[in-house]
Amino acid sequence: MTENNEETIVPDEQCNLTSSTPMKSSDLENVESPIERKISIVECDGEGNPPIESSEETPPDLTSHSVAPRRRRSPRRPEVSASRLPLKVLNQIFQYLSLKDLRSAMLTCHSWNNALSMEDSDIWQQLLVQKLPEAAHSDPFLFVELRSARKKLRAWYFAWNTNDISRNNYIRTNGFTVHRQPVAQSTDGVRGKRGVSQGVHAFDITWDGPLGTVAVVGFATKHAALHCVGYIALLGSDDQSWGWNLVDNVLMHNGVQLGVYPKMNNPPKYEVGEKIRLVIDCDMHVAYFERNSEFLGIAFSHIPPLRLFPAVCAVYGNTEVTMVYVGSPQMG
Amino acid sequence: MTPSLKKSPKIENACFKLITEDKEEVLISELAMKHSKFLTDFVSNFGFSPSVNGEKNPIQIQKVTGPTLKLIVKWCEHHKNDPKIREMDYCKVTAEWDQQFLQMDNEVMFDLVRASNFLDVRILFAISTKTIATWIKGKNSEQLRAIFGGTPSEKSEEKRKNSVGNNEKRRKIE
Repeated sequence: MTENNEETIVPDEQCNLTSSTPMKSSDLENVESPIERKISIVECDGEGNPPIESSEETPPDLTSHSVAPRRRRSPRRPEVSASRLPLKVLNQIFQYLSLKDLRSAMLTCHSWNNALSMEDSDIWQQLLVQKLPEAAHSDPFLFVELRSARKKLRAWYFAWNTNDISRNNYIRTNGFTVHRQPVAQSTDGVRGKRGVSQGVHAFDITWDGPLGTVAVVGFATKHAALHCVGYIALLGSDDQSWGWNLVDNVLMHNGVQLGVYPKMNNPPKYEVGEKIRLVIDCDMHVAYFERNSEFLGIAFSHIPPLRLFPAVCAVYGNTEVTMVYVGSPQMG
Repeated sequence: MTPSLKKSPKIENACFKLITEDKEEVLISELAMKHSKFLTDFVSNFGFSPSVNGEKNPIQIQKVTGPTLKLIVKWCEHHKNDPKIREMDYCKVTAEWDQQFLQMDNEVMFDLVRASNFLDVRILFAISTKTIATWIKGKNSEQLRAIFGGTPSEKSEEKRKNSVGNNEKRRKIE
């Protein structure tokens, strides 16, 4: 997974503040928090007498005085003063951080985690504005299901992958819709940016253009083909992909038709613009679809524990498919 | 104790006296005080005016301790003659003097950030939070905990591995 490091909010070239302030000892493994450092200064004499030297010590003095190895001091956790910084201060600090650093910050302590869990805080809004293309912001229907800035940001990270797409497809300016160009005798697909291998994940897929003769919605591993000659149901044609053909309502995997889905007589045909939710449950190894919030039954079971990417394949020229990651579906 | 003041044309040594929680007194000139929105509003609301050694109307500052206030006053005094700049422009390149000024321990920095938030010294707040952000950059959570303190709980360990909420970040790393 690539991280565009040039997009960090505080690019190192521009920011000429040094980051070396807390790391007074250059050895990171032996890092001690400042409070611990001060305590060690106080403790350095065996009898508990304060040291003769002043507390303005340089690092070499410190290491020569430190009595106890770091491990002995660890039960005396430093006062969590940084974690008690007010919310406004934390927000201001986190504004400068990239997503990767925000993750580290979230795991550091509870109050930071709480500050960053606020879904609509400025931090997320700012990242959202930065990462998402202009057209995605102005589209009123794209994020109907997602209420918070953070969820929208997350959906962006799961959207269609511009690098993992057939050459006859392209992704439109809003970043979430793939468009198939009218090329004869070709079946073309696309995968999402991120695959899932743990947990339960839901993807809202909307087929915005005409279906044509073959329009398959499903998921695939990294290795499934995204292009072939002719008009076939590419998704589901081998063991690397699983698909549901919306035209004839048939499930496909490994080149085998697995039956009509949903399992009823005359299942309704897909109408253009309907929202289909693909749910991949990696823990139970099943996948299913929902149409307009109606559960249609388990589509695929015994799915291998691989990283699976949402995928579609299409044959109709100028057709479009939108996919928005909505996270974990609420049960019940 | 008196910071080096630019002599006001009218009254010599005209300044305000700030008294902190721990009973320390710090003098600040009127021009330097312009940086702190809290103080300027306070003074204008109460109609104070600067006086010799600030004797006339001392201002009580509740949440700030002596050493921190001295640092803030030092920064304000140094920048008292700055023309009005937009915060964004100021943050792009930090001045040499400010970089030197911001070389301090974590604890002192946190107190400074809290105090500059309280006193609403916008530029100082921006550059000091930016400094803290540079400390955070590029470190994983263990390192951060070492610098900033904080206890990992089982819950956060579990979160780290499993939670859907963290997925977008977990996958960033993979």
